[in-house]
Amino acid sequence: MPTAEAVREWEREACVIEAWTALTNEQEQQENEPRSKPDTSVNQELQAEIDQARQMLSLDADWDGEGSPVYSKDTFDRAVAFLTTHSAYVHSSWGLYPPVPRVSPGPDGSIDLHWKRKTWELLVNIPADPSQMAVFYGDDYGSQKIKGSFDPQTFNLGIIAWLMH
Amino acid sequence: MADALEFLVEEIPDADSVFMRAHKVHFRDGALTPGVFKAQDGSMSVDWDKYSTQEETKQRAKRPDENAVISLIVGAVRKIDDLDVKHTPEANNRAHSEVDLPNSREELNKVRLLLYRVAQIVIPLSPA
Repeated sequence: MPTAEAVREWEREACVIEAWTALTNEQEQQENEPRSKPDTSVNQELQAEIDQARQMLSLDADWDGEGSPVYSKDTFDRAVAFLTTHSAYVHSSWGLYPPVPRVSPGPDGSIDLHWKRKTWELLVNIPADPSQMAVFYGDDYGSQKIKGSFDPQTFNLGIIAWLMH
Repeated sequence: MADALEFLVEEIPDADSVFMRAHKVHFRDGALTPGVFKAQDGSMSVDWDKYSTQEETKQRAKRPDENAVISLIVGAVRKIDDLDVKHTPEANNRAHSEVDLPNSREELNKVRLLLYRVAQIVIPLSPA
């Protein structure tokens, strides 16, 4: 049975010719360096965010005077593993890195991963208790929503799809 | 000595606001983070603006200089799922009120993000 399909015009690739410019010595040196960046390389922007967020590990118990607990290295490492694994997966699949979230202290020793974009927002919470699932909620400030829980040690294609939409 | 029962429990109108302290740990580059919203015994303590100024809320912290103050419009909070804001006066704080938060972590995560969106910083952090 035939399926209805709009006929599209053939799209031709435009070939832009740019004027050749000579490389400076510094550029030439960079060009000659081996390009051995593997797909598993950590996004520098993500690494900077992780480095900054690491400060939360130095907080003492009751850091806010209201009894809040410390943030453990184990929880932090699980949050980092989730981010780096998903970032590397996206990079190896599509050749680009997903947006970098803000990594910040969550409630009760948990860690928040917060993506705040112009057209969507997503909050993932990595729990202090490793036996608990991570939870997430996101929306496009309108009718599209995503909510649920997942094991942060496994790939979550729903989260990846949301990050790349 | 004042007794909490001396203060009548009142209905908080939607148009009013409540204040809440936000510790400096919950700020990054001057911007609030959603971690500021957390439950203690199922609810979040706030001060009704009918009986508290922003500065009074700040001064109730153990270390006021480490805290900013944020404001939430009660009607905006009540529009988030089933959240409610209840007046729960205490002996030493007539303004004391509570926002009931969901028990489910999934629901709480959603509510925290939605509260984050309606929060306004009314007293920023003091410069370090």
